[in-house]
Amino acid sequence: MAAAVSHDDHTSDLTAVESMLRAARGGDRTGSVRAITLNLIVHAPDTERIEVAIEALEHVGPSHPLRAIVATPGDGDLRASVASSCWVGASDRQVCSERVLVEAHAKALPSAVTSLLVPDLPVFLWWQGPFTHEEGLAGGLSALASRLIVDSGECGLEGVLAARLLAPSVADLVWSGLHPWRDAVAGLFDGPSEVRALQRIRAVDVRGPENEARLMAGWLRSALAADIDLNREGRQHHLERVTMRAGGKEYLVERKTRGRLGTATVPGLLDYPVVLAPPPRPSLLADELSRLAGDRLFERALDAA
Amino acid sequence: MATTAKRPAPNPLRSGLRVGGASEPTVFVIYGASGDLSQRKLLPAIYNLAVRGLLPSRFAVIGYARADMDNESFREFARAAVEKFSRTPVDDHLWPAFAETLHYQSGTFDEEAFKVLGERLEAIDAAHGTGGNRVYYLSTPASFFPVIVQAMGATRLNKPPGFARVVIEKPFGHDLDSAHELADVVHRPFRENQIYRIDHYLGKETVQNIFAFRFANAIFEPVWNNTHVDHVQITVGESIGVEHRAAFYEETGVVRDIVQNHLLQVFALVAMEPPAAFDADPIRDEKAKLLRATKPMTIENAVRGQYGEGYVAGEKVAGYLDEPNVPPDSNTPTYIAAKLEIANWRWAGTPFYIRAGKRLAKRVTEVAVQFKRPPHLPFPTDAVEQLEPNALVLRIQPDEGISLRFGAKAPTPTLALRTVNMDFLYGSSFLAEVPEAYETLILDAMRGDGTLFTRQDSVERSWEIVDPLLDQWRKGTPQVYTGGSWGPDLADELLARDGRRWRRP
Repeated sequence: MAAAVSHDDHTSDLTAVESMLRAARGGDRTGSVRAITLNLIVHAPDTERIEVAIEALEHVGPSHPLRAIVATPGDGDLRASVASSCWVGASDRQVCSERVLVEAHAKALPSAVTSLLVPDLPVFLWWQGPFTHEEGLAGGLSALASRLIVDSGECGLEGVLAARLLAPSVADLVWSGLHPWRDAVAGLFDGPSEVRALQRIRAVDVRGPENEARLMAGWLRSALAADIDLNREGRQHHLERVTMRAGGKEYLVERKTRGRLGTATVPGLLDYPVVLAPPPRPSLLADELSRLAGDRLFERALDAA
Repeated sequence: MATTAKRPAPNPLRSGLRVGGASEPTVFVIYGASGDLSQRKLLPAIYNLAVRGLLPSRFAVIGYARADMDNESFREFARAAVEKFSRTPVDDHLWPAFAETLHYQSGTFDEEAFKVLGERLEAIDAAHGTGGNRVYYLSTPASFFPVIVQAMGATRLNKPPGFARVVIEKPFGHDLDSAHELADVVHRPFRENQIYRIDHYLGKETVQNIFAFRFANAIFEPVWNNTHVDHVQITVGESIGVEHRAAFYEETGVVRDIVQNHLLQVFALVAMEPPAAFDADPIRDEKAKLLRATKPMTIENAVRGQYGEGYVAGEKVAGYLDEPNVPPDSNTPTYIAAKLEIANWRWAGTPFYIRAGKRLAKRVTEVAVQFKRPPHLPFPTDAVEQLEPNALVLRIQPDEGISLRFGAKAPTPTLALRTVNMDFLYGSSFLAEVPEAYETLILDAMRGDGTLFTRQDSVERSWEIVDPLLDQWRKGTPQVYTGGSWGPDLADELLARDGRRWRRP
């Protein structure tokens, strides 16, 4: 799939942004119809995170044509730059996304962003960095969004809890990345006899990072409506193993190498391979942009974590 | 959901997972696993489901055919099939794990051989924890269906410890009587809700979009009736000829190949009443009701054609009678145009014109809804002489999208109205990879979701609609049309006598 950035321009006048974007799409001469499905506000407090955001947007764009407003708090005058990216897929189909980088004082950013939102379309806020609901910018941008996406790897689970106070729906990219593991763990108990064994699970051993381990335990507690102890070990960057025991038998999902695959072990059956590697972070973001409603499973797991 | 045994308690850890895939342990049995369909469609589709993480965690395939293969050679066969026909390339990291799920059993379609298959299935259940759940896919010529299902019943393959579902490919008979006979045979070992009649057309994302377009948008449904719609045109055009399938096509012709199944299913989706829920039975109930309200086709309201030589996209093409293995006196129709009438409150008096054919000007499947003219045009006559009535076109393939035709004022000094088209391409909103129809349908069969499969009542009613015409067309010859055209002249006359004309797709 080929991407082509068609235009890149700068301005300090936000009222000029729409005409600049129109020019970036080829102007009125082409008769092109804009088909955008959502607004995405990205909090990018520094250059590094701006680059991360732009890279992610290039990945997300083909599946979610959107207007991204990358908001950077600064001390200087308001500045904006616009760009439009188009991707050509099979049968020469083309989708286009728009990107506006806007830098302004934190107090001015929410109003600047408001003026740039495409009407009627849903608004997502991807907040990069630590999160506290006491911060004015977080409150101002969250008020514009119907879904707030954070990363508990950056803001901690406490930051996610704080985010819940500000937006009707919150997503955590760490939770999203846990999906292959949750699917594999659930798969351990797909057989009738294993379903019965679930009732006897009282502890889970997790080898991996703290947030992932807490969310895994929270998910099991809420799904099974049971008190389940968490025993965590290791300081790994990635989950390596989840183990549960019932009736003297051990149920295990383990990733032994850094490849995509791991192994699931169910007592009495042949071990079988499972896909455990989470999709890359931009894919996780794209997945969250597909959902507008809250994730009840996540909320319950977070409460129980 | 189809079952043959008491359902086990659901796994609470599955609740709310975002997978969208199949979770119940399953063994997928392919009868005719060494054949063309298995190679081109089934094995690549199953592989792509694995790539997308949509297969159950406990899953196995048993390929079953007469060909002499073992597990290893079947895995090599499958890999070659995936390399050649899959929409995604083989992932060398994923392949070894996927290959382990593939097994092969050589045998014939009789009771002795099926007993051996049953033992093999039990062994796989014990090793893989697949719980006795089976999806049987009959990827064989239709003539084998009765033999296979009878032998399955005799050896109790239809009554495993878990669920048993059987997937069968069209044709579901070649007329109403044979459809009854096939149903009688299949219904002996399997209940209707265990039978998944596959029409790959319904698995296409684009066909499913008709549901979304009609029932997720409030602005169209109020005008979707005989008060506002003048008529509807459904076109299923192919630019290719019969190619190497002359023997098959001589037995079927355009009516059995396209109209009785694909086209009537699309027709039903366009014209049916809104279902109460997006579930198998409510949707299939509404489709069946619509087909029951559709009058059988007659020779008076239908035109047949057979392609002659011509040019398609600049290439010279042979006529049907000059194709390999076509008898020189064949009267098999490769084209049909017909008027369908629906006797219900919504559509009475609004005809649905259908046309389908090979070697037409281009490959296109579309539904064009032509609206009535405004009751009064308050403009000078010369200002509106180029104004066409509104039309809404649902393009199913290629370039899936929606086109709306409406009138607008031209920027001229004197008042002049012109017809303009507003095109929307689905591809301009979603560039995501579209799954193959077989992926969707195989996954649905494993999930026990029959929404996109055809129920026996619809099959029978479809034959009741086309059978009278097939009877009348046994005699006579089709009108020859030029390859690369839009069909014979008589098709134009069919609409002209109603004061209408075909649109050019």
